[in-house]
Amino acid sequence: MQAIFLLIGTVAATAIVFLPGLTAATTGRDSWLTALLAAIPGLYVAFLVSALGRLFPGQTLVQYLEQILGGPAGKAAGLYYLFFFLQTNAIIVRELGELIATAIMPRTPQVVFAILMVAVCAYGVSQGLEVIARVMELTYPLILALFGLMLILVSGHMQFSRLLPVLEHGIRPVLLASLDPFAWRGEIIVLAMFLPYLARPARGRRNAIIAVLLTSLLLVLDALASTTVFGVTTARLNYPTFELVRLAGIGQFLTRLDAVWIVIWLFGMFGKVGIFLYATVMAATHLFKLREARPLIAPLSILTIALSLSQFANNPQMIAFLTGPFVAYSFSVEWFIPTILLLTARLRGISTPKK
Amino acid sequence: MSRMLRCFSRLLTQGQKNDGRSFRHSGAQWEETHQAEELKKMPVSARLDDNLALIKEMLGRNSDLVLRELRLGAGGNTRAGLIFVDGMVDNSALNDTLIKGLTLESRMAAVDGRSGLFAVLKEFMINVGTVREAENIFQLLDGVLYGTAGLFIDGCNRALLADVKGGPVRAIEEPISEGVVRGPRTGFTEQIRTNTSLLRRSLRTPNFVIEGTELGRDTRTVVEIAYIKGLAAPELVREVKERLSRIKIDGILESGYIEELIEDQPYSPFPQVFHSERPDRVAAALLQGRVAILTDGTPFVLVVPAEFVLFMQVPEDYYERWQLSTVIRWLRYISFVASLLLPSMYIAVTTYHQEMIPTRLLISVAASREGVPFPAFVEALLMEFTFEVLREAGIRLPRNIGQAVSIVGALVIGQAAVSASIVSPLMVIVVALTGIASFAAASYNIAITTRLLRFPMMILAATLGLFGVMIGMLVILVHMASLRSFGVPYLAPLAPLHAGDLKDVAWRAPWWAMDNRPEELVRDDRRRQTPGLMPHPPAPGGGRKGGGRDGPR
Repeated sequence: MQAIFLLIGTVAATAIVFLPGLTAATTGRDSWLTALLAAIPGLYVAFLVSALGRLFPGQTLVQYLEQILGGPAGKAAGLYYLFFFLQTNAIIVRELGELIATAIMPRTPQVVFAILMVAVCAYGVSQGLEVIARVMELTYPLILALFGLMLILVSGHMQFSRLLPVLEHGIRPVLLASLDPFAWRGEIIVLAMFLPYLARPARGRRNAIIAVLLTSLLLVLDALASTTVFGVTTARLNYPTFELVRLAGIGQFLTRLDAVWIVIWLFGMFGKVGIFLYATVMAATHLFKLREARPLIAPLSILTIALSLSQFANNPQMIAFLTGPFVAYSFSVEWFIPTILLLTARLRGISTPKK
Repeated sequence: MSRMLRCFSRLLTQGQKNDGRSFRHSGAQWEETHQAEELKKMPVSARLDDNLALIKEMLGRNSDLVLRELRLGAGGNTRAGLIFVDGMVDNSALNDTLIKGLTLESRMAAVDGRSGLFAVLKEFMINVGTVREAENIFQLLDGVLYGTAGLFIDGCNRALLADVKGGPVRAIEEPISEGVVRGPRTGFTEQIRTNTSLLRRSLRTPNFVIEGTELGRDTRTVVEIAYIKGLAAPELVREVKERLSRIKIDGILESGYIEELIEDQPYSPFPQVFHSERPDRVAAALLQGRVAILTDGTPFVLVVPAEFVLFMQVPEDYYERWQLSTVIRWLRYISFVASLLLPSMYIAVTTYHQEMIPTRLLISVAASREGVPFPAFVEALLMEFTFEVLREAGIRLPRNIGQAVSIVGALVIGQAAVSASIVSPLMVIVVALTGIASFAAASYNIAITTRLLRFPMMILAATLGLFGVMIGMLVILVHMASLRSFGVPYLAPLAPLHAGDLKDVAWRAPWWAMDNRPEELVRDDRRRQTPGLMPHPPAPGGGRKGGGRDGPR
């Protein structure tokens, strides 16, 4: 149960805010299809991770990298992963800062959000994975309930005819656009960093699949809602989900729930940043074969904050990166290397250890 | 009693081995580790005069010590000395039973020799519940200072201890801190024996165990743990004993001392040990597999492990109809959040997020804040401060003056501060609501937590708006998620989720649906009742068909 929430949190927290806008830009009214399609690679990554986890029980990705690829290559790949986790986390923190700055606190410098959010997450990480999982277990039902409430509240604005025509320009743009969410869904790769620390690693695959499916359901619903409400204009919105919330209101008196929604969404972001920070810390610990992970939390947190601020000059630049180079980058990390790993492991004849 | 003493003396000898040196400081009158050792080496002398002289030398200065010489036996030719502390013994038991038996009845006993007399006295003549022998001065003093009467008999190198403990005690009254409309009216008292008897009366199972020890070098406070064998996890019981035995302190005057000495996370603002002065509440906790710690001298009984939801439940939840209890419980959850967040939300919304307020309300908020010279944060701080001062003053003052405080608070400060435009009326409402919400807490110590955390939350709200509030909430949540009370996660059964246990958290399930005991506490004997207890009254005219089915089929 906790594992499922951890994984949903990993992917859904940012995807739900940013993805609909990104995909709608290229596919217009078919963005819900891309969300649906992206479930397949998500499932593939879940399968890869759990298969690798079964071959190397009790080990994290960075640990078995070295075992499969051998010393130098394994170290290099581990470093690559460490950097990927670190950078992705920095991007997440930046996304968070951008949204908060845009939506509720326009005059506060972003560095404040980054520092506070990462500090809270570092506190969570220092208390252990279980604590992060518990917080998510407690808050996710709330987030999901709020999401459902939002859907109900905006249902008055929905026009399903806006979905038509389906596949106006053929299947090609849809397939191309689904690369973005591919990268997002692949974030489930962090599971490989904490699979051995779950209470029941054996159920990792089942949980990962459930999480991928639930996330897809969420994203499809979200894409459908934004398209039926905004039509093709979705493409021009930075945060369609957020705009949806702006529309939602209860009666005549509660008309602006967006701040509340953002604030609750921060709970979800805590989970996501927390997990990525955890993955970063674990990757560094295992890469350099340290005995203690704790001393690494503070420096890596600071690095995350710094990177999140210095990486991009502004939001459009970040979006350009996310839809451009990041796709290939994460593709390599999330699918290419794990696939190679699994194949190599099979070829070298490493089989599931008998209990 | 004897078990308790045995346990205690074992504890004491351990204490000497380990910490004998560290406790020693010069000039202490009742330096246990040092003195007890010496006293234990002092046997009771066979000569009465020696014994009496010794006692006089040691305790003779005390005006409440009574030393009485008697003559016993046939013809009254055996001398004896009776020692007791006046006020700690039950006078009627002492006079009518003990002294009468000794002075009158022992004359008729036809026994020869002193040791014969001793045995007869011990077995026949002293008509009180517990009679023990004391072989050394330590045992004797220990008993006498706890309210038993000691008896030296000339020619015997042992003394008798007759339990005539008594003296003034408070009667059983309705607990002040935890009132109910429906439910038992008994509350614990300061007397540990009364308290254990109250528990024993509601739990008559032979599995109900009360084990005792003594804590505090000088106070020698009797501390007992109570649990139901088979329900409370053995590791838990062991852990409680272990933590109690670690306590080496000069005095335990209230269970609060123990609470702070056995907590899991001493720096947390959240209480991790539950306390109650209601026997029904403690008995219910014991039935869930928890362990109670009773302390002599206080009506507050500790219960461990205590997770967060335990502080959100009151006994009346289980006595009233379950629909109502469910709603009330939710009301309590909401008021918990409100008492923590209401002022900070108000500050955040009025300072940073005015767009969230409906337009008409915004106008009236703006209008009411018009003459106020302070920002919302200062205003809130001012009012919260006043409120806390009033509350504290109301508690400490004698009851009849306390009323004056509330008049001053309500009229002068509330009314006048508003008309002087120092605070806005809305802020008065917010602070008052917060106060009321904190009074609705199910237990006082969780209300203290919100009271404390409210202020940092207000600062966060004033500096960072809702984002700050959320960061504060996250820190609190992470902290709560990392807490444990005696091995039980603080947020159980919510996180980690035990869906079956939500029946007593998300709602109060009717009794016929509460089939199992909490998962986190009880592992072996989880079944609370026969399943399918839901009543099925016979259908009108339907014969015997529906008359109480046995199971859910």
